[in-house]
Amino acid sequence: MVVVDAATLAKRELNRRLNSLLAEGETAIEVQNPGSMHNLGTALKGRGEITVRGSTGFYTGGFLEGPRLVIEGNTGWYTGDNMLAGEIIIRKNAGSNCGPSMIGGTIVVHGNTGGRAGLGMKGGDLLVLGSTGRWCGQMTMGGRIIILGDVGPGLGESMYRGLIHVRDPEAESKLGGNVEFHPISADEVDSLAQLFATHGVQADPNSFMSVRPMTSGRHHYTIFNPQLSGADGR
Amino acid sequence: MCGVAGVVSRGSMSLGNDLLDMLWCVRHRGLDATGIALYEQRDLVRIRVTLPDPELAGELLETVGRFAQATEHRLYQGEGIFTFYDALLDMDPDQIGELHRAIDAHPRLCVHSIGRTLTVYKDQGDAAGIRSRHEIRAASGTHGIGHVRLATESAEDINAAHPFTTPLFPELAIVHNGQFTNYFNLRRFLESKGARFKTRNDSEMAAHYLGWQMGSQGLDLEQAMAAALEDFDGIFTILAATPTQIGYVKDKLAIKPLLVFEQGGVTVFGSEQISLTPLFADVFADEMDPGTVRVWSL
Repeated sequence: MVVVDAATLAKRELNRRLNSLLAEGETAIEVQNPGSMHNLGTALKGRGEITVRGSTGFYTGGFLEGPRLVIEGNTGWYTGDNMLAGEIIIRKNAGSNCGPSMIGGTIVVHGNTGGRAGLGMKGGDLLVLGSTGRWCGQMTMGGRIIILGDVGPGLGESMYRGLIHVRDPEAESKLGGNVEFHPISADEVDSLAQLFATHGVQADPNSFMSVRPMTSGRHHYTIFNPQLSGADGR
Repeated sequence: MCGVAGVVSRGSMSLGNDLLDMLWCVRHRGLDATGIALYEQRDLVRIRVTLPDPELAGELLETVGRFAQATEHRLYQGEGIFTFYDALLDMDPDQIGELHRAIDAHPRLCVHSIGRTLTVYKDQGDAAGIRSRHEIRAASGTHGIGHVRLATESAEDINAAHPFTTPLFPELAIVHNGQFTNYFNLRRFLESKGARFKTRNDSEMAAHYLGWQMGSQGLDLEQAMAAALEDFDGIFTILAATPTQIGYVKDKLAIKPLLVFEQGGVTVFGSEQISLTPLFADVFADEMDPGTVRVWSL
């Protein structure tokens, strides 16, 4: 176990240190005093596990490619931005835009997360044990999002591909545009059961519904409708 | 990028320091300028004005003299070309708007703040620079807002820093993260209603708009911000404060973040969680929803 004190390092140096340790074959690294630092753990490669004692800011674990990154506090916006492989485990809550444009790997949020969770995902798994804010899964192109708690309005807004599993009983009334609400399939149940077993999640896969992109009959996108008459029209 | 901050803490003696500590944490969001607006208890009206040339002090003092007796005043040089005038005025508070208008009528003078409770400190650079260049005395305060600026919509100029105030509603102060796409139309409209613009910063428009709605149109802060949500087009998270209230309005897509945390009678507002850490070491604040307006009364 190697302990790194983030209070004494600039983020570039900290990330350089972490990558060096991973390259040297360190498999257990602890980061202390993160102080909500942004960009902690950017572009990490290797096979080790990094545990952060405390909370981090924006872009935690961006471009992650292999390691397991555990945040024992909260994270800010854009956690796991474009990550390729590995795991990010957030013991508390994550801010908005968690897992944007993920390509692979797994993010697990033990608490809640904000709006646009999984925005533009292309692959990987985003597992939220708590609740999410609005526009979860907006414009996904792949990957899978699982929410055990409540979802916000606009669920799956404008998904192209990808899959969302929810068990919020109100989920169907919160769907975004161009998605459909279906019973979960047998294959999806099996796959979820494996994911839950891997991460120690106590939930019955059969209690979920699936949100899938509409495959035909797409209608107009309505994300933003500016009202052009206003004060200047009086 | 810009960042906003706010604190509500009745009886606080460290509002200025708290806000500057918060803004220091988000200096990466904007190093062009930093500003804070503090609401403090005092007997007299305090005014802060910038002059691009100390030679203009005579004209300024003459204008002030028409409305007020300056009991304590100071002229001091800022980091750049601007000289600051800071004074305590014995005057009729009902004349605050008129004095503000009279000074701003001069093309080269700019009122940063004038009020019985409101004081604005804004300047180029970061929060550390504000602290070192301006004398911010501890005073019993209730709330304040702040801003770090990355200039995108107008030239860098300390008068274009936030917070903005307006003679249309004395002691209103606003900070804004975002940009307005219908700024020019709204500016023309507000000019037709008596607003005088001192900068080309689109955010100044929001101060005059809210001031117009709350002043001549008689709306309260919440109603004015609800009207702004309909009339403004663009990206905006606005924090606005009056002597008795603080509130926000967020556009319908909520690209610019606003976090709020309340504990033990203290409410903090920030663009990022990191900016809350000077007051609360490790919190997960609520992020405010898109298309919402909310006001806290003091």
